[in-house]
Amino acid sequence: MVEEIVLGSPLLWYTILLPIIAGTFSLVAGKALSPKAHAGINGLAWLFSLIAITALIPLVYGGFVVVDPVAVSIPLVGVFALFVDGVSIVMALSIAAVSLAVAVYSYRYMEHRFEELGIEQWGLYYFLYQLFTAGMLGVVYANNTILFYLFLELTLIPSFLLIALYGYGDRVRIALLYLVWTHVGAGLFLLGVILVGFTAGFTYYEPGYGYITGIGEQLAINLQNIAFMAIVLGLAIKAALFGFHIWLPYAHAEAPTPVSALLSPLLIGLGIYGLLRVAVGFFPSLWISLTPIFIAWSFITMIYGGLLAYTQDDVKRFLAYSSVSQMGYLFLGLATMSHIGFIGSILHYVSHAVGKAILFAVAGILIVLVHTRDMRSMGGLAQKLNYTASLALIGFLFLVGIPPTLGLLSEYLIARGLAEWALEYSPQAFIVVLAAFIAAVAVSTIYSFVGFRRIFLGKPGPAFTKAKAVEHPSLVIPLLFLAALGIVLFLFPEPFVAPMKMVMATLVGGA
Amino acid sequence: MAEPGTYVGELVLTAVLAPYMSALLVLMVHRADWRVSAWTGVAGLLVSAVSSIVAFMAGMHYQGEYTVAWMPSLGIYFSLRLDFLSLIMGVVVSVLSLLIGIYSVEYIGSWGAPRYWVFFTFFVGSMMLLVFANDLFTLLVGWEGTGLASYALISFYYDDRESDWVGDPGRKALGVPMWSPPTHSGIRAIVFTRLADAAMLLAIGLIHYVVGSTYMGLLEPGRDGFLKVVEMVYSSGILVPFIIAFYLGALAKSAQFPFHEWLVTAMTGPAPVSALIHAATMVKAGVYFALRFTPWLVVALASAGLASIGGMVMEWLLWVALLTAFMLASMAVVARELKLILAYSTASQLSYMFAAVFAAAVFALTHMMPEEVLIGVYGGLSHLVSHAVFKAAMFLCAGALIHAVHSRYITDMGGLRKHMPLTFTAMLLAGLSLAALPPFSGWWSKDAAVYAISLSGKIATIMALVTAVLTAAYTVRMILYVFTRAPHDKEVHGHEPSVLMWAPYLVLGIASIGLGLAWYPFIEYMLAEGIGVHVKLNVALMVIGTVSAIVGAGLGSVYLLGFKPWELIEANSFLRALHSFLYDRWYINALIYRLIVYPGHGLAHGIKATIEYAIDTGYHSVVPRLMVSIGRIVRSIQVGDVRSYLWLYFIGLIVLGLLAYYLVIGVMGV
Repeated sequence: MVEEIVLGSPLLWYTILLPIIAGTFSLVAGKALSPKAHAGINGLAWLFSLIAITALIPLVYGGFVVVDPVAVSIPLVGVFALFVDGVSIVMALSIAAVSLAVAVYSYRYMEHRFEELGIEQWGLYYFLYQLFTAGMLGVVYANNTILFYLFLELTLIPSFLLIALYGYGDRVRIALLYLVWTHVGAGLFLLGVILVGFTAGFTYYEPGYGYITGIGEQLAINLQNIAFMAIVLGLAIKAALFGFHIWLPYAHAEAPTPVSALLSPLLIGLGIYGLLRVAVGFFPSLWISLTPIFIAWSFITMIYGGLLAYTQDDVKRFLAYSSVSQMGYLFLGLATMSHIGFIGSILHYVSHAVGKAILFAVAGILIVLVHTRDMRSMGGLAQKLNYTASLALIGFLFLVGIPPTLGLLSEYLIARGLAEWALEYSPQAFIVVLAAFIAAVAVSTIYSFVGFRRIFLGKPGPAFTKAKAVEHPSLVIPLLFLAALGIVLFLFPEPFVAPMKMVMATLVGGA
Repeated sequence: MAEPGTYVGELVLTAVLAPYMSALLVLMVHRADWRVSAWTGVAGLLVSAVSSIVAFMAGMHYQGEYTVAWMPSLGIYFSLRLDFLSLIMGVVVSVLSLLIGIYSVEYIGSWGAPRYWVFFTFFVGSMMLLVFANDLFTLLVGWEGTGLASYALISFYYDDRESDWVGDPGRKALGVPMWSPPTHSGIRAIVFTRLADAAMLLAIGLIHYVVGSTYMGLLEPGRDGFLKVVEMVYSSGILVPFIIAFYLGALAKSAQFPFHEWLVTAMTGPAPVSALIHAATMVKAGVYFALRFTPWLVVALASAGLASIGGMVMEWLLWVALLTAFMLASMAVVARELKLILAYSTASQLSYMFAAVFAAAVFALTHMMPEEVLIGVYGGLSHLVSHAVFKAAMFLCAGALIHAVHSRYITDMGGLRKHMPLTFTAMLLAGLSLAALPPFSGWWSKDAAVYAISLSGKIATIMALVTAVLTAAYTVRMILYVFTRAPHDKEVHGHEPSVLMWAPYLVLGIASIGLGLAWYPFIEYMLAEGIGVHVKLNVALMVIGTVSAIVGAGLGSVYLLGFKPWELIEANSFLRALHSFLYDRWYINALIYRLIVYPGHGLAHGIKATIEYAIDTGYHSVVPRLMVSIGRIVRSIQVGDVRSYLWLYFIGLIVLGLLAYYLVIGVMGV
């Protein structure tokens, strides 16, 4: 069983608050600070958080659930506390690492964007940035569905403003579109957890007690169905699964590129995380009974998103559709209802976080240096942008699952879960799943490498001549750091995998 | 663990990691002079080769392993396996890679050098890892690593310069372009192999689930891992799809029909890359997979009482291999590009290796003598080793020839024997080995393979022998075209490359006769002992095989008589059609594009224009407009009349009441 350890100091709160404090300082200081200093302060705050989270790894590996000492009991809603276990630590680690890398990367990129817009709002930018990213960290620490919802809301408003203020194209309309969609999603989720909560409670991890699972099934059957549907639909919108994905290409393509690099892998993946903790956690039997539908849904998302990515000419829309497809992989892991499939999902969150952050950042480099997002005018850019091309290739390796990246492990574990599900389900299922998996992997491989070719390889396109061949270290080094992290995690996954397995066992039962 | 006190495990670890370390080092010094990259790469290959040889000498007579707990909680280990098969493969891979690496130093020169050497050494490291893997996930890491490296090296000339295309620019079959620039070929390679790997991933996942671990030691005969798997999948009714999924990755990697298409266009890579892919790495991975796992699977199938159904699947696989062998050999007969001839030949020869294993498996299963499958392993491994040597020599020669003549077409060559005698010697030695003429190594090894194939019956034997005739014919045709025939239209000047380039292929050329001379009894004894099988010479079959090769060589020599088949083909419409059929690769490429690639492209754009458009306008245009209309309707209700408000209030109450009844009372069953 999982043992609990309460920290002596509110370290988890520090990891959230420090970035927010740094952001607030930026806001107050405003023009008094140079852009570099803004980036430095906010980056340092995230570096602290990253180190603090890393320091917790041995505890979690040792089999402990780490709980922050600050806990508040709220009438009707239960305890609000922050905790970290095998699942959340690896997600927290990726959020902190990506936030750090992108904070540093933002400096050169936003300089370019501010120039275009004819404004200079470093303080406001970093303030919103820090609220947004710290909110995501809070989501994975939350022990309670309402706290989860509150942190999720904390991410929405800043990300909405970042799109509306610094985005591209019809940015205000698209920001509103994003706001409406995600609020519908969040609202449905809230409705679902309230329906569960008033009968059975809101908490999925209770300090001093442990994990709370299956409580959704105490509800009357009709209410149960409604609550479950609301939660699944709400989070499916957040995760942009097929049918509810349509907002994503708009928002992620038109957001300022550093924000895309956060939105796309980090934020939408939290939808999958929520499904694991709340939908699977509260309604395990209902989840099992619907696995065939979920498996089909995830394959449709994987293939549909991949095919649409293939058809895009705008590099950011291309990556945005790729995110839709990748969410299919994450959802597939959950849909297998096997603890190894779950581990595969969470590791793929990390893998996708690293890979897609790199890729969106690469798109940003293209915007800064090549001044276009149109893949039709690109081609041959590897001749000028060696590092950018190499990074893009590495980014795709994370998505497609090719060593030496973590993607291979996560993809394999998802396949391993899928094999288990199919074997238990029916012989026909194995054949169907085999064909679908082949198709999905083929589509992912095709759009990735075709996209890479269109941008970087082959004969130079029209945009080639105006491309500047100055790859600033501040754009490249943060991405190298992320790539290295993803490779190190592949080489040494055991500290994360072992405790994750224990957590998953509480959700699926057995080991 | 290895036997106490031995160091073989560490040696093998060194052999695997040294190329990876080189890759990392080259990456770190990527700004240095190209020679630094090159020799850093070669140094890693040298360490790997020396360690493999010492490990082989010291360790060939026992079994051992080197295991590190990687993800013990999931039953996944980083484990290396030390037995005869892996040790000899390690030697073949690392020594050939070293020779090819030395050749590459000058061949590649400065353009793209760091990139070349990073992926070259990563390629070798990955291949060594999969060869020594003693854990299915470890194997997968090497496996997918070779996929990445092959992609990067096939599209090495990423600016798509026309001199490195494959196929005749402008030529179409069924409206499908039959030429391929490097970056297109790279995508083909990785897509073809990865889609099959997806099946392998699921099959390995299934084994992992049933056995609880990916550790391969649990799958060996004597441990019940594989037995449990086949029993479980059989009782679930998915034995056949499981076996196919298990082998699919191997078939794709080793270019068996219909996956052979990726290998054909992979010729866009530099010549040493072709040599590496064809001789030492990549395509040999699939064959190795079959050599490694087929005996275990056969034992498991036999002990589970599933010999007949297992034998049936093995027979399908056998026919796929034989079809590939014949098909690709027939294409080689008419091909005009030097490297393309060699590529067809590789796919065809790989099929011999597969066919040997699968035929022996069929025999073993139908006669319930599981150990007989080792005859196929012997045949397959023998041919793998000898093919690796002579095919590496041939590709390296081809690189020198193409470089000297500035053309990839054999029709632009001719009479080069005078200008490039060393290259001619090497090509001749290796070519006669490929043609399977005595006493070259290819003669011995092909006979061993044909013997194994003959176990499964007459038709398979005939198929193998017909392919042998074609093999000798296209080999001799190619050599005559390039070296002895008078140049076609213009004067062809060639020159030998530098010693760093000719020495590796001359060594390999000499090795193909050296191995042949030493084959019986030494090498044969070593291989048979190592595998644990007693092979007797089947003299009658060897005579027939030799006669086939001589007939083929004779057919190929018609050029010596000044005979010009092209004029014959021009004159006859049937021959013209046959020629196009073979030249356009049996239209398989065209069919793949017509049936899968283009429809897939159309599907993607189709759903973009229909489904995605409908979803987009539905949510973002219809729903908002609906809201506006509802707003108008609602406004029209608000007339300020209290009576109508009361009515609406009552309707609302009723709706709420019904809802409450459904949600609460209805559930409680009151």
